[in-house]
Amino acid sequence: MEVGLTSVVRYWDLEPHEIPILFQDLKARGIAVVGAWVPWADLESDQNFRLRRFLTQAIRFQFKVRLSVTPEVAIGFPNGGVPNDLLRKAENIAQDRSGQPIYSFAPPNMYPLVNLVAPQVFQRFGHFLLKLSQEVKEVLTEHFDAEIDLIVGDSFFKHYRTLGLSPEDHGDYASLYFQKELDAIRGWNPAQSERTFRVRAVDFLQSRFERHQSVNIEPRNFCVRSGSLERLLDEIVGSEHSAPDYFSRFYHSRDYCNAIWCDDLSTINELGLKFVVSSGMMLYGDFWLPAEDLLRLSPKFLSRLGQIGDSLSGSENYFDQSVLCMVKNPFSVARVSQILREKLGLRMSVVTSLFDVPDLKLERTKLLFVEEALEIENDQFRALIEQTKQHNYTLALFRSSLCQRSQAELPCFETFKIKHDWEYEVALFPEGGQLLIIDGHESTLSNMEELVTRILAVAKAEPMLKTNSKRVLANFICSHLDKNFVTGFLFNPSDVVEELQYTLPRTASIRGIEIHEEEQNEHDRLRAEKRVIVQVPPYAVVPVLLQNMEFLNSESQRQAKLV
Amino acid sequence: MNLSDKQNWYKYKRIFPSCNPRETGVFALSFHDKIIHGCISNPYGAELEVFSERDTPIEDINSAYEAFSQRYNARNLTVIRRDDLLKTVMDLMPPPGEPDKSPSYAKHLQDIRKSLSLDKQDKNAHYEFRGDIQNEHCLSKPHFFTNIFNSIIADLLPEQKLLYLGIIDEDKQSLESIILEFEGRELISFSDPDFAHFDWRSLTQTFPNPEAAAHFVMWAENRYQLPTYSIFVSARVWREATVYQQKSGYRAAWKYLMQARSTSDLNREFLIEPEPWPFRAVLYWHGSAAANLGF
Repeated sequence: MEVGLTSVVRYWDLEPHEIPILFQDLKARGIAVVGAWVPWADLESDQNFRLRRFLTQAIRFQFKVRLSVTPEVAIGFPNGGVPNDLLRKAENIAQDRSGQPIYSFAPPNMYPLVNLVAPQVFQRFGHFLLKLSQEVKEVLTEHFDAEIDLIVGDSFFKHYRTLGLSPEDHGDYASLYFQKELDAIRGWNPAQSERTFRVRAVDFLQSRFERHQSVNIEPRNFCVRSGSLERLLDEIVGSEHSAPDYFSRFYHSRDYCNAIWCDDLSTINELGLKFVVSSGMMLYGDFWLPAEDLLRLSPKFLSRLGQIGDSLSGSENYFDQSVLCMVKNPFSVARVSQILREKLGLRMSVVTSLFDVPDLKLERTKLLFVEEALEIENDQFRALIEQTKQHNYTLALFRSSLCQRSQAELPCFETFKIKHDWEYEVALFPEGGQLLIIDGHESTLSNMEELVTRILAVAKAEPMLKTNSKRVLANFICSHLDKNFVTGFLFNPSDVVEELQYTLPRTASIRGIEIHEEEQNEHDRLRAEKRVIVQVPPYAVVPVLLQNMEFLNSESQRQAKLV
Repeated sequence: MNLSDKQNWYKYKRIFPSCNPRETGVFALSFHDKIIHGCISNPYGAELEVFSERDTPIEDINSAYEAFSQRYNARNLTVIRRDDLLKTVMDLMPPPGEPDKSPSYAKHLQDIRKSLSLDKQDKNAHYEFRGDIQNEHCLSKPHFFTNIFNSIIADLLPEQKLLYLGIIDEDKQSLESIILEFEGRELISFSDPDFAHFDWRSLTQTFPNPEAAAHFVMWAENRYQLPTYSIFVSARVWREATVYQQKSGYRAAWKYLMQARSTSDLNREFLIEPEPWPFRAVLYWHGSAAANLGF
């Protein structure tokens, strides 16, 4: 996995002469990747070839270019880049379950969200992709060595929700699909619409660029600040979004997002910005931020971040999540997935299909948990089993009537049943096909937790250290000090740091933690031989601490502040 | 040419940052007697607090106020029901299919504030409030410059007009510019000037002289077909004036700007072009005691 910062350029806002000046500044800071959201409406009416000019200039400056081709809120373009005329037709507007249009209140304007899978919108988006691929190909004819990533994001679907409605009422229901009968017939659900949209977009782009080695098509789900009513309230009041706010959002979205997009960090001071960027990098490894905000970071900080990024790219690292949970609706996961999430924290990631899971990630996966597996078909089921054998991970299927049906075909196959309000079935395929057989028995809710623990043990994917003891934690940190550590953030570090004083080796510099010997006066100088003070700067922390944030009580979390 | 075509919201925010409130206040959104979101307005320079009361039941606003005032050192608590906020927004937004008549985001925010009566408590206010100070002290204020035509004297100027603001940093040889469109006293839109067929470099190399500024105004009037006024100011003076507003208020910022103007012959840090007497009077009025009556 490649780890790094992407400097986002709003190229449509810049005059042609301003772009090279900006690129020069970015180059001087050692930035190697520039990115841009391609606003759909802008490209459709792009008579001045702004995108082509931007790409050409970026390539001349030897930047790797990452273009996000799907709509997103808060990219700086009106309507999130969606053409205005599409929003003038009621049938193209997304609705929540209560039948209300879903609005985005993120700057630079307020507008109803478009339903990306409405037939007219979907077709028009195809035309946009066609034009985009033509533009990119034009550039590639002159600069065949250019490195371009086309990012197909599905994060727009996250905004199909009005604040206050429950996750089950998560929208994306155009009036056509709002009829319940039709829902039932087609089995329409948000995850399905996401899959349909994304798979077709990626298929199309892959077919257009199959002969171009230098063009990569990548799926991403961005962690984006919501554009719903909470954003509106913040903007009305003029309240500033603080660095810990950002951190909290990053932390809680990590199981279903794999990249960050921060549209506006201008209200955060430099120290806070460092913290936001480093903690975001630590959690996701892929951070997109506006070029003007990136230029506020000092070259020293950027080079340090670059070094850490290089050391983490490629090899197995903290960004890998060893448990994949395949769900229907990432905002409303079933109870077993919920327990898994609570137990695993950042080690679990939620996906709606295996489509956006790269092979590299699958190889490192220890457990694939499929929720609502009764909806999968027999050939998909067999394909999963095949994949399990190939990648040597454990497959757990939850509520799968297929498991029972397949008993006749697959020898020694049994299902594990626990009984709650209705009957659950869990089938486990540990380590590539050797079947785990557990007799069916009835259980209560508490047994569901036991079941999850059992699944994790079989998959050898137990949660990382969780402890209430600061000493145990400090020991754990020290035992991991020789591994790659990333700068980050620590809530109330003083508790742990006190323990670290006794456990840390007396090394002058350990990446991520700076150690100083205190020599303020004669008395302290004498004590310094025995005492090591560990100062954890706001952007320096050991990632494993994040796994252990549970040990801090809610009161100290409330007081979370920059150290 | 339509001004709203080239709106760069982030640039607008960068040039006209809103002014922090004087006091700390808590604003919460409620739904079914539960807080679903909240934010804290912080005074200038104060340490930012994180609102962490999501999903807290809020049946009794008095006890909630007591708790929040202790926890966040807040002087008031405002609870807006989600449905009220949504209804207010829906009333202001055009129905699907119709174009938005006021496409400026800043104007939308102002309109929502007005519709909710957030600035001034009255009987029609769509929220519950507890606290020992008025709500307006806990809300951020718009940048002083965006209210430039909000005075009686400004009524003497044309109804629809443009105001160009150029912020020049001679050290970096950079020019940050924006065109504001006013209708009467209200700012309705803003835009990046596109400088089509205009040599913008003449404005950045040195601080412009009155002839260069007049040349620019002529270009803008031809380009946008509206009477145009222009103000050129150095980056240092602009920064200082913004800080003055944060620290000492609206009038102090204007006073500082006018002081900079009076010394501009020497320092070349402030230039107005053209300067008809009503426009000059508008600028001086804001720094005077009379301005207090307007705000």
